[in-house]
Amino acid sequence: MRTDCTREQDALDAIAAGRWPDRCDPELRDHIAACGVCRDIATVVPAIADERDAAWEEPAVPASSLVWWRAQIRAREEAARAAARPIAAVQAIAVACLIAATLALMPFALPSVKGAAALAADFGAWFTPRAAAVSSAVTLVTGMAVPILPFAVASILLAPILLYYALTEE
Amino acid sequence: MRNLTLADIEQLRAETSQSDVALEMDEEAFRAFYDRTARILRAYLSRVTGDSHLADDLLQETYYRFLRARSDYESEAHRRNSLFRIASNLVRDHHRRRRITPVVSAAEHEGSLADRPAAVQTERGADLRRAMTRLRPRDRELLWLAYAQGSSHREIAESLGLKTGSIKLLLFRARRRLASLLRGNGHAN
Repeated sequence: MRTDCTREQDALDAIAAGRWPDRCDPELRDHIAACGVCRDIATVVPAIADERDAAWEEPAVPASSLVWWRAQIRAREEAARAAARPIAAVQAIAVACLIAATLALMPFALPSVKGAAALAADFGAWFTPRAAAVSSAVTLVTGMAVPILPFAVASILLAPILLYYALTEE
Repeated sequence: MRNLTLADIEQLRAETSQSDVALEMDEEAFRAFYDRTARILRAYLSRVTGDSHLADDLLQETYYRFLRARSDYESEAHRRNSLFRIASNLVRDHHRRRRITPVVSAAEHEGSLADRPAAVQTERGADLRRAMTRLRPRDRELLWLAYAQGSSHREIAESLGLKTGSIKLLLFRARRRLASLLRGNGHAN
């Protein structure tokens, strides 16, 4: 099958000049009718050229300033993301190291943890029977019934948080 | 994205320019290049994708990637061909993604082509758009670059990342397919 023709350019020129089909040289018209390559050109090229003309009538493209601005914003966002990537990686490594160190030290720290737990249990055992007495003393002084054990626990938990906020506000 | 007025854009531009991010072109040069190429590129994207909304998205993306690309352009033609190459790659990526997760059916796709002003919809235009949707994306790109933009074989090759020597044959095949589709729609010539 032939893929090109020596008269291809003549056909293209006639179409581009607007001579095809009515004002075309009869000899070229006969050739186009007989040649598969040129017939395809005569079918396809005017249709695409019309479509191109129609495309120019479509809504205008966005303003260059808008496209530029969006590109700037996006480039800045990407730069920020790229800058944050190493920080996130370092944080992940730090957390991994902390976990590894904790696991590595666990056998050595375990007796101390057990000791601290036993101490806390002893303190609990010592404090619980006396809690009722302390509570009655507070009731006697303030005239209010205060459940002393939950109050003491809540104070111990909240104190560092309140201290943190007090210091950071300063 | 919300509609922006020109005053908004100017204000945002002023804010942005205070801390410009490095792009591969200054704003003045970009605006001149954009004004020379945007309409042609949008027409190309719109006809190759068959979807004017997608064409608008790809237009923005194409210019963004163009601005971020670190290239030394020998000439205006080289710069322009690079722009079209980025656009063609984006279109190809889009078609590849759509093949994996088809979200738009062929009928919807043709429907989106019809969402345009009635004045533009000549019968021949409608036939051509319908026929173009049945071509492979590369065939559409080849035909549009060759016959709507009048690009040379070398320019087409640069824009599509193909060998110059293969353009003639590829163009012949694409033209043949489109011609037979159009003749099937009653195009005598």
